[in-house]
Amino acid sequence: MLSEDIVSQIKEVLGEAVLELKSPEDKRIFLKVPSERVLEIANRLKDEFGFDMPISAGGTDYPKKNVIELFWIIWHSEMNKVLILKCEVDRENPEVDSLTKVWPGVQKFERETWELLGVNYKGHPRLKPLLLPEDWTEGYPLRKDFDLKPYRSKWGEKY
Amino acid sequence: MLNEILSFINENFQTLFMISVFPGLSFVLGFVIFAVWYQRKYLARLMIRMGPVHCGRRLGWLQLIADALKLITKELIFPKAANKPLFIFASIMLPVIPAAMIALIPFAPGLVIYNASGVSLLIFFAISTLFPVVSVIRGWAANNKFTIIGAFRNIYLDIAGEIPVFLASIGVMIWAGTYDLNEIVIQQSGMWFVIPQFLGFIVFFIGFLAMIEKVPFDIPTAETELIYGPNTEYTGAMFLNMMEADYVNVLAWTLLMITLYFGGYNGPRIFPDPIINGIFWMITKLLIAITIIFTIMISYARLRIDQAVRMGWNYLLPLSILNILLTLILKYIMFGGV
Amino acid sequence: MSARIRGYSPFTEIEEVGDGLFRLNMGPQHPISGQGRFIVLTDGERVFDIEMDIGYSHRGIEKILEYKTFVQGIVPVERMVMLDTSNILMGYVGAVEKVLGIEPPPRANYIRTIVMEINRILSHLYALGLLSESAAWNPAVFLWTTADREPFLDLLEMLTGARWSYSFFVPGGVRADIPRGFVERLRKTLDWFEKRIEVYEEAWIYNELFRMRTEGMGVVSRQQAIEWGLAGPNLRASGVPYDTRKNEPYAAYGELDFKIVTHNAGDSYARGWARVEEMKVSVDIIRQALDNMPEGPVKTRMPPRPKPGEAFFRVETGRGEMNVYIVSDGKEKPYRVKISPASFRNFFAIEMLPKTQEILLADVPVLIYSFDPWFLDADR
Repeated sequence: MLSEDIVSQIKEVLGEAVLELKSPEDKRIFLKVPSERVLEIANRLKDEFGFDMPISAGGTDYPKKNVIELFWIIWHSEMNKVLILKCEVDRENPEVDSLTKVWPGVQKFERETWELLGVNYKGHPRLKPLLLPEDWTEGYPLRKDFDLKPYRSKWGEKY
Repeated sequence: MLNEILSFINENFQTLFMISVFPGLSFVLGFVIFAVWYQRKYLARLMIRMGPVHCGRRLGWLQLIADALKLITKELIFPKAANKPLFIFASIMLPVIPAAMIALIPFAPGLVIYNASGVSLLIFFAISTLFPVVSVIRGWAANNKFTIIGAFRNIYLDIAGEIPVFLASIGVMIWAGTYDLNEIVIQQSGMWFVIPQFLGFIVFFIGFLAMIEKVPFDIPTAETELIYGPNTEYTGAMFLNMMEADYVNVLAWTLLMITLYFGGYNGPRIFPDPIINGIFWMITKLLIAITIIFTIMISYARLRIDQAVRMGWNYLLPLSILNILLTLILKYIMFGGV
Repeated sequence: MSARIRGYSPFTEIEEVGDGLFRLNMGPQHPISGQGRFIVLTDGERVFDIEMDIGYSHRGIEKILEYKTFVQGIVPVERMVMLDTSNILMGYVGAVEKVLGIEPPPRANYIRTIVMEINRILSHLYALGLLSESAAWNPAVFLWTTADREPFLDLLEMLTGARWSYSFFVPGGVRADIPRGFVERLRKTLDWFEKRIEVYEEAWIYNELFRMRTEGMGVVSRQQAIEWGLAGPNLRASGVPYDTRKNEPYAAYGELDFKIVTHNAGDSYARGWARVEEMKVSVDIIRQALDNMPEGPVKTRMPPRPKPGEAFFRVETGRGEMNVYIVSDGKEKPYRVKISPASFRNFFAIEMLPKTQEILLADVPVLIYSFDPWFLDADR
């Protein structure tokens, strides 16, 4: 099946939930949906379209737009396509449904995003520090306003 | 006072010499130092390495003495929650048990430290059963999860290995008609018992590997999961004791295997003196045996405890009983009576 | 058993959980743990839960990359997996090339393929050594594999100038062309190495005790492998014929003919076996690449700034598929780089396995090393 066919099918099935949908090259589908409906749409993408293997998840901070853009990257094991499912959450109070029930493999990635970007995944089974020290209180390192100055080497590397 | 001591030494010179020099303490300690060095050099060759080369020129023969000195001078650390008296007791007791077993092994005609009138094999096994007991004491006294797991594994393994070993050597006892190791060795001057007792030897050898706790049966001290098993918390000189206990245990059981199945000190006459000749053959056989053990150590993976226990109870035990029956039948056919 | 253990010892914090269970703290100072820690919930032999505690070598590479230009980013990315540097670097360089909109010349693609396959052999050799070492403390196979890596390291030094982190790939090609005498030496080494693989199979893969330890242990079914997002040889050992080199060809893989190694068992033995078979495939790929090598330049000009946009690039490293997601805002530095390494995904499967089947304490090191973990990879 061609990527365009899947794109048109997704558009048909999901209707107005699709905020943005494109396939700039073969095997890549970028889909953006509202953050409240992520869990429902993820379930439909798995059951109706067969996107079954999670390969990544994360987020990008946009302080200018005051949003954090989250993404889950899912591979279709039979059609060999990659879906990049995105949604935007509010930067002040980032909250979204966890997709671990749909794709168990995103568990560690969501945990990492919770830790480094401060996104609260509702319904995640194990939200506790993973990469950072257990007593870390100095903020969320992957946010753009995280100050790196205290961590720079004293030999004065210039960025 | 001094005169009394001197006269005591004079009267019992031979026994004292055997206890303190050969085949007693000095020999045992010398063997431990040699075996560790030999293991390191031999295994290093199999692994495309050099082994120790720094102390003692290219052969590295001083390395072990340097290591021992380092360990002796190190601080002794006791875990806070350890049972200190038992902790120390186990570390002292553990090398003593296999060393006591060596006292029963004849090294040459008449050269045996303790001549246990006719029951020396039974006494050997009786002493050997103390080893797991002290092993559990060391694991429990250290009060650590790794040591406890290692100690319990030690019990499982020793029971699974010990019983087939006992039953296999009963085959030898029946064949020789005696419990006495001296007598067993003398009877082997014509033919080694490994030939009529081949099935028994196979069972004995596998059980023997479990008793000396080397790969593939180094389950209690499994380094990959238990660090050093029951010995994990020992430091300094006490750690040295544990290492020594390991190798003395290897020595005792290897000597027993040679005595039971490979003719003990019997061998072609090279030296005119029968005692030197006996010692020569004993040590030659010992070296061949530990070389085989070290080769096995490097060529196999470690068994899991459940696999080892299943092997002991499901295969070795029935085989050892079968061996007893076969021995009885064979002896009845050949000699017309048991 | 745990009820009898009381008190505190500095090495393990004794902490009773539920009915007779306790937590065993393996690492970070443990013979087998590497730069991580496994928290094992056990009753003495049976294991009920493994938690992989990683992050002991977290360097924040994703954050560092936001402060470096695209070319400067090469050096930190390489530090993720020191013995698989070129495969890891290919993920980053490939994504950067996509953002910049450039294509490397064909000869560069072939040179990259050769370097990456040599690196895969190096990586698998190390993995096999560690797996054998975890089944027993038997460093023989480990030292043999370490010794056999030497000729390949020398070859890489000849080609790139360094044995380990050579920063050889740059956006737009490779830094240098193949030197004189390299091809002949590489062919000779491959002939020798094929014989060595047979030695490993005989001494280790067909070893009866090793099979007893690994067969039927830690089985990941096909369905579970997909759900948990396994990567690399581990995924293929569970019967999923996915190989990025085949499914989304990059470098010169699209023009070469090779097979995907799969196994249906999905146990620890299959994972070890798959690595040995993949080394054979790698030898085959290098030979083909040497035969079909085109002439021409090895580098194209690289534009300093990309257009705003995003790129998602997948690459098959030694430990499995790694993917790099780059968001660019049109400046000379990336806005966001998300790297999803293979070990990170494999660790999740290790955490899930004790919940689905019976794992014993002695299986834990074998299980973990059959997945070929690399903590620096997962930590980033």
